Amino acid sequence: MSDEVRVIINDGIMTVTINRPEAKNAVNAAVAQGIGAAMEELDRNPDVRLGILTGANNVFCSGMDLKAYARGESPFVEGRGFGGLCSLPPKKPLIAAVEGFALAGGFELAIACDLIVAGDNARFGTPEVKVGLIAGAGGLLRTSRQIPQRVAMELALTGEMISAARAYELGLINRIVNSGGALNAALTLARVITANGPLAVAASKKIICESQDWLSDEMFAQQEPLLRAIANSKDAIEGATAFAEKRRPTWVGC
Amino acid sequence: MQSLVRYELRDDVATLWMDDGKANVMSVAMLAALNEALDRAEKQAKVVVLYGREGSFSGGFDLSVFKRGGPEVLTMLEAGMRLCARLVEYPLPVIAACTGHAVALGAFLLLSCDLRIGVNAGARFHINEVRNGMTLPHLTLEICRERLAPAQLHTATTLGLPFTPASALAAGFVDELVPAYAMQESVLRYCADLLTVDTKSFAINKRRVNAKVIQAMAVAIEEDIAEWKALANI
Repeated sequence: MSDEVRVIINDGIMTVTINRPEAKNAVNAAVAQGIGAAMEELDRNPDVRLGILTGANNVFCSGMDLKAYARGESPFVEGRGFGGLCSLPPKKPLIAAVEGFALAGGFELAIACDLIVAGDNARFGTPEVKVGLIAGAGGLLRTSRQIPQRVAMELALTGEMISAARAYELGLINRIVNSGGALNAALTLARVITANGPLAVAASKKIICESQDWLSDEMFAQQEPLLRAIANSKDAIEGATAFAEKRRPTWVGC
Repeated sequence: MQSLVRYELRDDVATLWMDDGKANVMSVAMLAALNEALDRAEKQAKVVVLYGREGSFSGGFDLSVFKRGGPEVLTMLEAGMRLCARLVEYPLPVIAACTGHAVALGAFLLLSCDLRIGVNAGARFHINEVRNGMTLPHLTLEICRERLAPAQLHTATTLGLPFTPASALAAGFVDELVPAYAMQESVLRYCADLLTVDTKSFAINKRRVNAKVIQAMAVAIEEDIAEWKALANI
């Protein structure tokens, strides 16, 4: 794999770093392919429980690399969309660790993640309209599902950036830490999640994501098979037993 | 019995884990253990972290000592006040990891530290003396005046109102709130930062900044001791 995306797996946590600091981590073909491959590995490798997406050199990602695009490079991955992530996020949890800019496509990568931790210098936004484009990689589709519509509209129509503090106030991000601390904070959060039952974590994510499209009078029925699978799992029994015995559970993942 | 304060020295950071298995009450034994640990840290470390136990930073003085009465009451009261003063005068930076409730002396000890990180849920900050028919020692008020915002100083002390983590942040009980799971990460981050500070100039600056309150505390503790002795003789 090229050096433009670095992947490190440690203690079941996969850290994916966009590594093009000379281009503010803009997404070219290599970055998109690299993230896409990492997301596939994340879901395929049973030893990996969770992914973290971050950017090198205190910048998350400034969006699509327009120069590369003009040269004919595609920042899209077949089946996975922009940056190898936006149209098809992984099944396992993914945390964005954001420092500096998360703009345009960079913003869309961040909000395609399940959780976002940001340094207090982070800035978020979809400035596409300023150059006559739209945020087509989920910026418009996801933002209005994640924050109040009126605010999502403001971001989309003005193209103005918001601060980490404002993003936190809106519930767009989970934690703010001092700048430079986002990756560490994401790892801390990741360890809390990886200590939990893997089946339960996977099912919880699945239900929260998929239930967006379920109808009110059918949603409990649709949740039922997932709930039953969890209730019948060895991990559910292990979790309850460990709780009663006041020890840490040993998960088997089935 | 297990030690009430576990002392850990790593990479020039001394961490003092207070844990009495309950509310972390400031008994004579706990206060002595803290002083002992501070003595060690002063010789060995560059940064000190004062850590509570899960759910409780400290519940304040050991009320059973008040109930029993006798000379131990005065010993405990004086040791509690002197520990607050010691933290304010202490030459090293002291970070408080406020893992839960900080009540009465627990709150004063917290306020005496240089940097205070609190959990964002499951903590109550309460200067509850007036609610228990007790008088606030003069020394504690000097610390409150130094560290709490003026409006909240009044509601916290005179009215004895409890504070939530969010209102405690606004009042100045804590400098930052974090989820409980992130306390250690946050503490480590501040330690790494404070380790880069020159120890000598830190000590001089801290003493300069705190000069007035240190002086006021020295006067206050004499008043307090005189008051307690007068009360004990009645």
